[in-house]
Amino acid sequence: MLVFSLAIVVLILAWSNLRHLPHPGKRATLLALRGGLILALLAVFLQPTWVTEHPTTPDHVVVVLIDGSRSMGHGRRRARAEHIARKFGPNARLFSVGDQLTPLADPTELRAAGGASDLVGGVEAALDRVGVSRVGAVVLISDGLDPQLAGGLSDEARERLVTAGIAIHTIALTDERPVTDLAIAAVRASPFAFVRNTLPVEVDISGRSDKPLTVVALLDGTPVASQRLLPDDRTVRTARMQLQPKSTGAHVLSVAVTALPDEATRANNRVHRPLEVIRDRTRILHLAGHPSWDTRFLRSHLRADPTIDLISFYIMVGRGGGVFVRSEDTTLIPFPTKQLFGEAMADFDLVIFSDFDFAPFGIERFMPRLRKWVAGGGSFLVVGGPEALVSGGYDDSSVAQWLPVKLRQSTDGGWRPGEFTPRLTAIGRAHPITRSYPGFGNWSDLTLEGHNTGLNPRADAAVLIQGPEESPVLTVGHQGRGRTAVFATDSLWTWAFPEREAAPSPRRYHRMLRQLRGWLIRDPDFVSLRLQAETRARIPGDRCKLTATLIGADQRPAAGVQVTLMAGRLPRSQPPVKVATATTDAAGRALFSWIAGRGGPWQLQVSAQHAGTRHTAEVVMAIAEGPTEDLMVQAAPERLRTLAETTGGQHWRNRPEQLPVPTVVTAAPMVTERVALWSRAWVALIILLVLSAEWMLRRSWGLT
Amino acid sequence: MVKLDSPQLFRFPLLVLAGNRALGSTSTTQMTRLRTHLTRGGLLLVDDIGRSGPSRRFDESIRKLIVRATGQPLVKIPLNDVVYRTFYRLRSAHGRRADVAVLWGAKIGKRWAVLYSQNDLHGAFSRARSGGYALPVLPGGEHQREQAWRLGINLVLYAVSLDYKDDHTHVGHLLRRRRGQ
Repeated sequence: MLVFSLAIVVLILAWSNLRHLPHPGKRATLLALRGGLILALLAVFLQPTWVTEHPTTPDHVVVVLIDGSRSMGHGRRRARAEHIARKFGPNARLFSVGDQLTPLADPTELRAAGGASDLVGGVEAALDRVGVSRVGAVVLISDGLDPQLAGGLSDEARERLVTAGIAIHTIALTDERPVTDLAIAAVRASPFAFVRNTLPVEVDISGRSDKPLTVVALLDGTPVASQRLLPDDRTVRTARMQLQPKSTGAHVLSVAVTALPDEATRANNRVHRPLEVIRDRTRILHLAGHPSWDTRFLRSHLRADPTIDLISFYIMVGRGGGVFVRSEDTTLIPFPTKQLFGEAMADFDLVIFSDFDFAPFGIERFMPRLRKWVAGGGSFLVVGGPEALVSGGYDDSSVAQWLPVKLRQSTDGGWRPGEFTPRLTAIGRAHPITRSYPGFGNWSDLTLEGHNTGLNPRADAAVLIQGPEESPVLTVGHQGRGRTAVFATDSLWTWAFPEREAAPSPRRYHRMLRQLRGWLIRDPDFVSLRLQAETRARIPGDRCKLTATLIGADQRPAAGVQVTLMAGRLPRSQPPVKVATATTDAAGRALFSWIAGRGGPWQLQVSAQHAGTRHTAEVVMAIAEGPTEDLMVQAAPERLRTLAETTGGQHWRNRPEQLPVPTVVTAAPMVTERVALWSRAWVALIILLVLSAEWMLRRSWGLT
Repeated sequence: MVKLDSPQLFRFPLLVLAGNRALGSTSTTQMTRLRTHLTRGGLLLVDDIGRSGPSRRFDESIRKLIVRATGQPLVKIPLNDVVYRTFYRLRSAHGRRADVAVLWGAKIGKRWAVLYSQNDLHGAFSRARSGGYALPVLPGGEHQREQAWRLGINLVLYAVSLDYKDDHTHVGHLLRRRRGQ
């Protein structure tokens, strides 16, 4: 205010000084010059700034992303995308987005041939390419079939998009006529299952059908459960099934739905997933020829383990004798031979014959079944005694053909009583069943009483413990994929009930038996050859890496052993084919590579011949029917709606003719420009010119 | 006959102790050996062989011994216990006498480590030199003797099979048989 007052005073003084000039033109000129000077000085003193604001629109572009994945080839999706993209005019920046971002000079360059869509990744890549500040709007034209959006927009992607601050407008290309396609939209089942336990499986089937559908669950290619779905109006129906895996290991769960005659693709009617089947409990059948201390301690040992389901039967009545009392007076029950050796056989992991002369019980006729069960991966233990092996007449039975020992008649009738100190063999010292561990103590303080004779170990068997005259006491062997063992004494219980009070605790007994049964049922710690796949779920053409590891009988890596990999699709209609042979390295490992075949479960099996024994191991690979992109047909506009709503954009799902081209919303902020007027050179020039002009005029007009 | 401090003790998982008067003193070592025996799976069968009835002094000393050996007092074994049906189905636990209807016992874990009869089981089994039974069985006569034999067999089978007859397979079958199916 003071400055303005001063300026006015100066102006008044100037007027007062000039008012006596007779010529009004000269007076006005000088007054104007003085006024101009005052204004210029005021500008310097007050430092005024010229502020302008204007939107950034004129320099911004519309980014149009068109889905270029293979699913856009269905129906007229690609043509319609082209048509819509053209509406944005020549100034829009066009990109094709599939598994990578490709600039398009013209919509006609769009090819629906890319891999699986990554729409969010494509948007981000386009923003990077164009520059966020230059993007006026993003328009995404797609059928919504982005596998990564199937489960909704991830929190991470949502945060990235919101942070970018760009609205994404989406245009969903829905088909004019519904595509005929049944697809397995989702399979809900645990990737882990317990053997012989119920595994619930839920399958969502998308697509309409006016005919009943059958949904089938398969394990390693073999149907195990099915459900019939009747036609209804729902686009997604759910089949619920239950199955019970019968064996442990790396399996494949497949789900298939009936294919319609005119389906867009049948590749999505079948889904394959890895299923790891593990053992929750070990099921053991223990058959004893008679009650004894050995059977009692063995049964107590097994029952003490909560992970064991034990079915035990003791023969309570002698071979020759009946019991002459009313059956109501006893608790004897018939020996359920048929039930145990019939269908129930497959439910057991381990069968134990304890000093059991089974001939009188009609079991001989079930021996082929028992042998087949063992060869298929079961396990069989014979505990000796006076009624077992040669002394139990086993040499006349077919069981003699597949025990790890050959049976021959001996002068002592196959049983020799008397105390002896067992001796650990060289193999036994390293074998996982009998190798030493802290606290085991010295074998010389362990005694046994009575042992079976007439036993000769087979060439491929391993004798771990020997008795008098090197007779085999504990012998283990293989029968097909199964394992067998013979413990040729019925006095192992004395290890649980040490004679000497100062003897080591009974844990040696329990440890030995735990390790024996672990080896028999092929617990992972007791497997010689293992095969591991880097990933079990692959797509056709993928290169799968596999590692086979071989451990020798001495529990050291077996180096320099040839391992052969075979591959065959399940269910097996053709014999497996040899893939490769590799030699184990110093770590006992052999590395393989297998190119995944066509969709379905594939069994990969390695085999190796080592120390007289053929070892095998296998995994089942879940090979998808095709890349995910090829399995999706029905458009998924709701995924695009989510994307638009998340970023504040608009979503359209209309026919192209009715589609309003989205207005380019300039969401970018206004730009403010500030021009400091007082600091410009022309202000000083004006002051100088005004002063000069006034001085020159005053001189020429003769004024002072 | 085996003594508690005998090296032979652990060759016999089933021990039988019979008497009709107070037990002599038991040393700490002997008690430790008995405890170890029972803990590792042994079974002690005690029989009161008093001629005219249970011996109070024997009973008192046995109860003290069992508490020291197992840490558990003797309890009555109900007639629905597996001991009474390991082979024969029994409704009482009579021996030569029928003074007490049930057995007594002490458990270690889930099994009976001590079984105690107050009815002179031995008396029912004992033979005279002539080959016949040495003592009359009262009051039930030969039927009671037969039941005593059955109890003896059950006890031995309990020693070597424990609760085998409690397995689901047996229980299910026996229940079906009882229902006449």
